[in-house]
Amino acid sequence: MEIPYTVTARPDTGLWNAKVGIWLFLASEVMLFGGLFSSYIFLRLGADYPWPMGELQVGFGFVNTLVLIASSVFVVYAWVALKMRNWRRFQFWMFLVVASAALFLVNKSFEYHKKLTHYHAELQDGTIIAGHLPKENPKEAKSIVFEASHVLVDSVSGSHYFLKYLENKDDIRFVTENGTEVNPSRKWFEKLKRGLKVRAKADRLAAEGDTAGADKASAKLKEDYKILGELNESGQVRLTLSQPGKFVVPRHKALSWEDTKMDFTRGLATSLEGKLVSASLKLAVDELDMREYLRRDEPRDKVISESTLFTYFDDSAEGQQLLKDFTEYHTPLVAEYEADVAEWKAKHPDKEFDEAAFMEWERIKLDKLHKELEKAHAESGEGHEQQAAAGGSVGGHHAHPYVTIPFEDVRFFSNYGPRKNPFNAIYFTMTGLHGLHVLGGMFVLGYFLVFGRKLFLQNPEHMANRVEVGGLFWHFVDLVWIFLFPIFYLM
Amino acid sequence: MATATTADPHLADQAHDDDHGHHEDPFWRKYIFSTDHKMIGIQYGYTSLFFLAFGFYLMLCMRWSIAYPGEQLPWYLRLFLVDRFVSDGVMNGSLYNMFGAMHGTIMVFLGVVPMGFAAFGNYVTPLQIGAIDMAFPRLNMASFWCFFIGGLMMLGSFFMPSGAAQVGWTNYSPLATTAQLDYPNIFWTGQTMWLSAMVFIITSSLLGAVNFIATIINLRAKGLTWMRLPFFVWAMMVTGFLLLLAFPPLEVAAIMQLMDRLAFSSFFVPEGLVVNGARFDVSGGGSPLLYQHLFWFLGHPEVYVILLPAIAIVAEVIPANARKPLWGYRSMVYAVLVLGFLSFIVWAHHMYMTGMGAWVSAFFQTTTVLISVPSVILLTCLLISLWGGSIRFTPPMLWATAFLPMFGIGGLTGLPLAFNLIDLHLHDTYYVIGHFHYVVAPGVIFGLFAGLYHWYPNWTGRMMNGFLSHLHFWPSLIAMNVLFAPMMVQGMAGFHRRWYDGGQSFPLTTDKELFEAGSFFSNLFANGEIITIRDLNVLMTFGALMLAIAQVPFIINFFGSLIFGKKITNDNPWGATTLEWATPTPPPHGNFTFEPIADKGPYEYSVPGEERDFTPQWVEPEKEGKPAEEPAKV
Repeated sequence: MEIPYTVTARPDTGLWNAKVGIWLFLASEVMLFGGLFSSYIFLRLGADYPWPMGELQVGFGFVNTLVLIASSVFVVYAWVALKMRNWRRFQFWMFLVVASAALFLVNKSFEYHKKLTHYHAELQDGTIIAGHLPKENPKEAKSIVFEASHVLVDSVSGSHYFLKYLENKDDIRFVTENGTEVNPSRKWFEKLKRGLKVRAKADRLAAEGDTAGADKASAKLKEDYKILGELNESGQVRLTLSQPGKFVVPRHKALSWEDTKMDFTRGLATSLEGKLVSASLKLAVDELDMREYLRRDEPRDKVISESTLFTYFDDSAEGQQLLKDFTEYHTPLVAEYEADVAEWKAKHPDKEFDEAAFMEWERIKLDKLHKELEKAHAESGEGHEQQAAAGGSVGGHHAHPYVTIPFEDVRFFSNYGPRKNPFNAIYFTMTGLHGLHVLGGMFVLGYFLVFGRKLFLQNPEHMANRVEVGGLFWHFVDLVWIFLFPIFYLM
Repeated sequence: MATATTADPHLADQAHDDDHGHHEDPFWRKYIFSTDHKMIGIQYGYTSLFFLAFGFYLMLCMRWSIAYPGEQLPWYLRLFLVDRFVSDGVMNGSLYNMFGAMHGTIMVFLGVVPMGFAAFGNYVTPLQIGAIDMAFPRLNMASFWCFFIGGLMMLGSFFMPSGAAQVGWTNYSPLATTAQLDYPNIFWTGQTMWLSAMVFIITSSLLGAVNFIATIINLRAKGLTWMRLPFFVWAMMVTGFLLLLAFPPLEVAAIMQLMDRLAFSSFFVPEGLVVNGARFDVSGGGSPLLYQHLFWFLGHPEVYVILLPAIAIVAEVIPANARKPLWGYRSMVYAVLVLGFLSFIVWAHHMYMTGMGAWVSAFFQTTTVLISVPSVILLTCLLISLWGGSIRFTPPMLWATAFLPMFGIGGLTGLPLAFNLIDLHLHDTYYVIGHFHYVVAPGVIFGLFAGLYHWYPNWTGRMMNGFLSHLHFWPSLIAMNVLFAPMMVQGMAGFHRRWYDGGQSFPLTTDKELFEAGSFFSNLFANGEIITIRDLNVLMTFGALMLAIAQVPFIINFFGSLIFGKKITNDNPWGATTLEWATPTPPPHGNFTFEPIADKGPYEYSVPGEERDFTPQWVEPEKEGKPAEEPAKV
């Protein structure tokens, strides 16, 4: 039994099966990416924040565009080689296709890595600080560090998950208030919860008057679930740690913290007692953006000089220099802006002033400063090296000043990943899905390259058909990128 | 099996043995990882029947708690699952939400669509076009297993610490984004699992749709031109296109919501959202409306994905039992094509309440009214097909004839909802529930039952029991109406669709004067005992339980007839004209024992001058008797 028209075309439709199939599949792919492109338009038109432009590096995207276009040409040559029944030439061109795909993905992963290790914090006053985590202890620089002597776990909704954040797990033994040593593993918690159910059942049976059943359940409780004896009145287990346990907790996993106490979010239902070591974000600043902050209805000079921003800088030479540069660079710009506003108001006395629409963000934006700073550092690079060689405390490799911002002052922080804003989210979603398509195409075409010889010898036309179908898909993937590149990198 | 009319029961067995002798498929290849379109159809059938039953069970629990709020569920509803969530057996709000969300999801995505499109489509379409299998048999198998994994994930989500998804089958953001975030591992929550499972189910549908359309375009038998295709095949092709083009945007929505839940992006989360009294710690700046657009861009074509297989089954059953050609075959074909197209531009009539703007509403109101034209053409053609026929009320015909008025009620009650002014009043009331359940339950499910009874002999070689069929049909018909008709009354009185306590906490629902009209109507059935609109709940719950009991004869009949059913003596027991009856019974792997060639239209019944009252679509092969050694290539 063989399905007809797998190799030769059906006379009346002029198509073989896989060709119909691939065009239908591509139609659904068009709808998939169409849905994403529509979402992009919807999000961009509806954005109530300035849509980030020029955030991506055009160079990366441009190279990738060239790579994909070239590979689309190579795949046609590979197909032609098969049509001419030349396996060696097919191998040559198909190898280039697969290599281009790999190059594209490598390039893309560098780009992703750059974004995912770059951080961004919005302060309570609207200032935005961007930068990198310090090379030493990057995890602690964005987490709450807590040295716990006791752990309080809820028996109903608590779980072993808190152990995930304990750094020195192996050295620590847990002891309950009754003095029993326990291992708060998943199994232990499961048993605790089963015990609670048995207890509830015993209570219910007793209330219903079924004494025999209640006795049976209580007996089971006494024998199998001694574990319940560890609970205190409020249904919690208080575990003492044999030595201070160092917890490193991501900011979003902590509900609240004080000097002696820290609560995890409600999902973990766990609190720590002990000593708070640090609860602040440490960044090596490379960009400042005070646009939101400057929109306050107060005199601009005052606003700038009173910003809490300056208290965060470490007392290093770079920090001091930045403050100086910042003020010098900014003061005339603000004055100019103020003058423009005054002029506009004089011209249109009857219209309401809309600052958001009026403000030329680019003029006020402060990342220009960062570029100038970098330039300055590059020029004085020699001096740095000398300092570093002399064992200086500057950190040598780093040209950016450090800030330490208490988490209370941070309204929102994330890396430049999907969490940052819908622009980054749709950038990662669309290019990620596109990347998966590239990866899939690479596997399929690579399969033809490596394992296709047998079919080529049996039925070369069938092999050529397969490559044609794979090539159509490859062209589609290329075409999607041709749209992705301008909307994310250029527009 | 040469001719359809020569009665020779041994030939079927021979063909069966022949199949065994030549292929030697091991058990797992034949029944589990099968590439035979018929076996895949049957796998889909069993799986979706299971899910239909499970979704029905969820509904019974909900209806009980609406009728008797705060009371313990009866023992037969507490046999499983309920005790996992509530120790006292009383359904609470969040459990009701969970069952409600999963009832909708399971019924739509795992019950009705797989039953109509995947099970019947897989089994019947290649047979009706005279093909030996689907164009891509292995893709077909992949499609089933994707679906199966998705189904398992949906079921599995009930057993996670959080329980299953709880925010309705539409899974609207930002409610769905922020639900069940209070668990240590967000990936293992029902809400996230719903999205992951949807990605599998959607992938399965896409693979299936590609396969169906490619098969219909390229594997039609010789002489089977487009206008000689049975209407069922046309409907399958349009359904395939709907799935192919409408599902990807939902996949996009699912992926974006997954990002929102797992990577904390803000696609559907607006600025400044407060959850549980605290600022939701994401950037904001997204749009909840975007989710609704993406969802309903699938959601509306999905309605026709549900409907078309059922209406197509009825279009096969009615001519075969009225012994008369389908009236207006061509206009039905054109109507179904127009319907397919229009179904893509009506989606926002589900969103009149979102405040998307009067012009947008006006546009979608217009297209929505337009789409009723092809729907009415389809139904009218089926109705007129009965006129002047010599109707045999066989079990499938019972269901098919009942389909017409039931679907008619469902369709006509939809018209008011198309107008945005009236919709403002009826939105999210039981009127909407009543409307679409009339379309789906007594409408579509009746059509599917018609198909089951119609093709059962082809699948098993045995007939289903006639008495049990009647015992299934009549109580079901009555129970369906007892269950769904009062919903219209309640809905017009303003009864909200998500009150888990049956409106108990809303004093207006017991206001006698306010609901006088409703109580008058319902007292036609209830002998003066219904005083307020809320008392209708008891009546409806009674209807639901009755409907459950009415399915018992069906289950006995379905499984019993596999062993005890009367063997058919003829490969074409209904005397039908389409190609699926040209095969041996049951059809072997490869289907046909001769090369099927079509030389007529699909519904040549009672042709003047012919000996018999049906003229099969295919050319009888010249050599009769022994089946060919190998199924001939097309």
